[in-house]
Amino acid sequence: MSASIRCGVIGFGKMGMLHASLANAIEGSRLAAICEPNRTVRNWFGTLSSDVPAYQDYAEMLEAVPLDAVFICTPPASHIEIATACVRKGCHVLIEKPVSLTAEAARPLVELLKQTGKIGMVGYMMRYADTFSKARDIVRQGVLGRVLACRGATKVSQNYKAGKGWRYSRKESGGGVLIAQGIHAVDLMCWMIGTPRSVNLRSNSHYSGTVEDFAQALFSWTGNTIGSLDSSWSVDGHRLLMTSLELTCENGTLTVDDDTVRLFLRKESGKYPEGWTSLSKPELSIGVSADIGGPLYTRQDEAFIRAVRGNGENESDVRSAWSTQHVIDCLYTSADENGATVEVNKEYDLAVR
Amino acid sequence: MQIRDKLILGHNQFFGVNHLSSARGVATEQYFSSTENVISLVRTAYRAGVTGLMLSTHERARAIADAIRSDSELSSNLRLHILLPYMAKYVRMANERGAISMLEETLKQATWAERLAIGLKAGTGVITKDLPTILAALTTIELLPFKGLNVQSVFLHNSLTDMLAALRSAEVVKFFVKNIEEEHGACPAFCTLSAGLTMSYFRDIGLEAPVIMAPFNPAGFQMNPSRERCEQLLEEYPCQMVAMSVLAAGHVKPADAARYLSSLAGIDSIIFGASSPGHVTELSSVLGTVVNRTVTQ
Repeated sequence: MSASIRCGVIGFGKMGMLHASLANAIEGSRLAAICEPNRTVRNWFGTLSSDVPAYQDYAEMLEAVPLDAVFICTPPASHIEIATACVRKGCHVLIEKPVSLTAEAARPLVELLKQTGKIGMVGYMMRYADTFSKARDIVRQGVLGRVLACRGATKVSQNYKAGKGWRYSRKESGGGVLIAQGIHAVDLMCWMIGTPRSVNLRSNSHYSGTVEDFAQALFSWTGNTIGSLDSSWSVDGHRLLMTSLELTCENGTLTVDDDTVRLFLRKESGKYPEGWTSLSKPELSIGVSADIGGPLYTRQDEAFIRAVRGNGENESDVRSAWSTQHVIDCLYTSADENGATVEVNKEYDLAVR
Repeated sequence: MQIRDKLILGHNQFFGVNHLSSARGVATEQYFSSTENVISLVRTAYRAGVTGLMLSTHERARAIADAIRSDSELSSNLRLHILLPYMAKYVRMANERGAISMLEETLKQATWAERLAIGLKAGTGVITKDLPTILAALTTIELLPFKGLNVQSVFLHNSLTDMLAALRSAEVVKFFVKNIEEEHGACPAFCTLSAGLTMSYFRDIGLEAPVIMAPFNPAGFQMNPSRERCEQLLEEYPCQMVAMSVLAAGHVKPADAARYLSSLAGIDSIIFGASSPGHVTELSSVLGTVVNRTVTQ
């Protein structure tokens, strides 16, 4: 491996631009090539970064440029094929979420990564947000005792009409707001509480027509923990995506969103006193190499580069994303069956680390 | 080119941005959904010595610009600093339609002549021109609501500034500077949340005395990669610095912020948000001591 991790980016849309910038901004890594099928965008990239080659075809890029790590930022239907080619070429991969359209589709990649020992990470960047990361520490330290109930939400004022493109085709995107945004809250629940035992989903595609705009899910975990998720991209008053969780536990309640962690304890526990504790983003934040799309993306990419170097844990690996994806599959199966309870396959049940 | 305002009123409270609490942001946005409430606060700020107003190119900026136009005191004296583009809108559109469709849709707002000039063919939605031409067209479109007003500077949004610095896009950075100066007669300026990266890069490419808006607060909030590195660059790299996030999203008391900022050499101006007349008067008085001290040094 070279002294500086050589990064490639496949798909130069919004997320591709972000990862390409971060690959250059993080110490010890650099952008070495991009791949983008759209010629106009490739030409623009030529103006932005004239010394980095841009390819139309990813196989051509992998052949021409020696790379250590690749960020895969293409529509989800292509993730597995591209990631497999990158890993076979000897690269570590960070794949934007969702890892694939179904968990079954990701199975060969999970196996390949196991065989090759390459790092496979999935862009569940909320795990790297100061507030959610702190909330998870508090839950895992047992400060609150057992989780009894969990309520999650994701909301944004984004979509109020039928659209065009891959996001509106369930075949290409896997679904609507649940797989595009609600999946972050589902992933956070799996990360904090564990893989649920069974799920239900009711959804409504009032605006999009083809994919759901509103998703309301129920979850059951082993030990009688229950949960719900309310996810929509057609809610007024949210100019930015808002993600929140409320965990009601034996010793109190924890609420966490993008800005704050609030804790109410019935009894003092660990370093936290009885009553209310509030921790805001300015208190929790620590500096990052660069803040381009939010520090959580930088922390995620820094963790990826560290893991590629063999110096750190890969918090959001393909295996856990595979498990989250199966939960999403079960939720969509439930919606297709009018909200019937769908059991989560135990094969995907990951013990919370 | 330099900006003259020592104190600038920020716009976040008008548009529902609150880095400490999204819920509080929504509440203040509700109050400021009345343009009269916005203008009333701007007037109080101006009379308290806050001679500049930052406005992003938010959908509601047009109504605020129109209200300023019809106020004789503000239209003749208040200087505007425009932050563009309004990123939240573009990110939403890109999420919904993809980056290319998002640009095509935005460019459709241009006049037929502008559209012809930038190669956006009628009906086909095909963008064919080079990046600087597209950026120039987007800048023109974004600045349309402020035509005829006293626009002193145009700040490039931090996401773009920091992306350009990370990708080492000297050509585009220099194009932005030239385009704002020559085509819009305003002072080009850069907002950054990655001051360490961006200031080092600007110094490397020989950008002389740029106007930079970056976070400076005693909590080190948003001072990337670290408070120490940002302070060091402020000392080493001659630029006109507009300190932002000085209260660390409400986490730092105004007096503590003023004490910290006064300890730094090189803070030329301060931008701050306020949501009530009392708040704006208090902050302009406390933070004014920092920049007035800078003036007399």
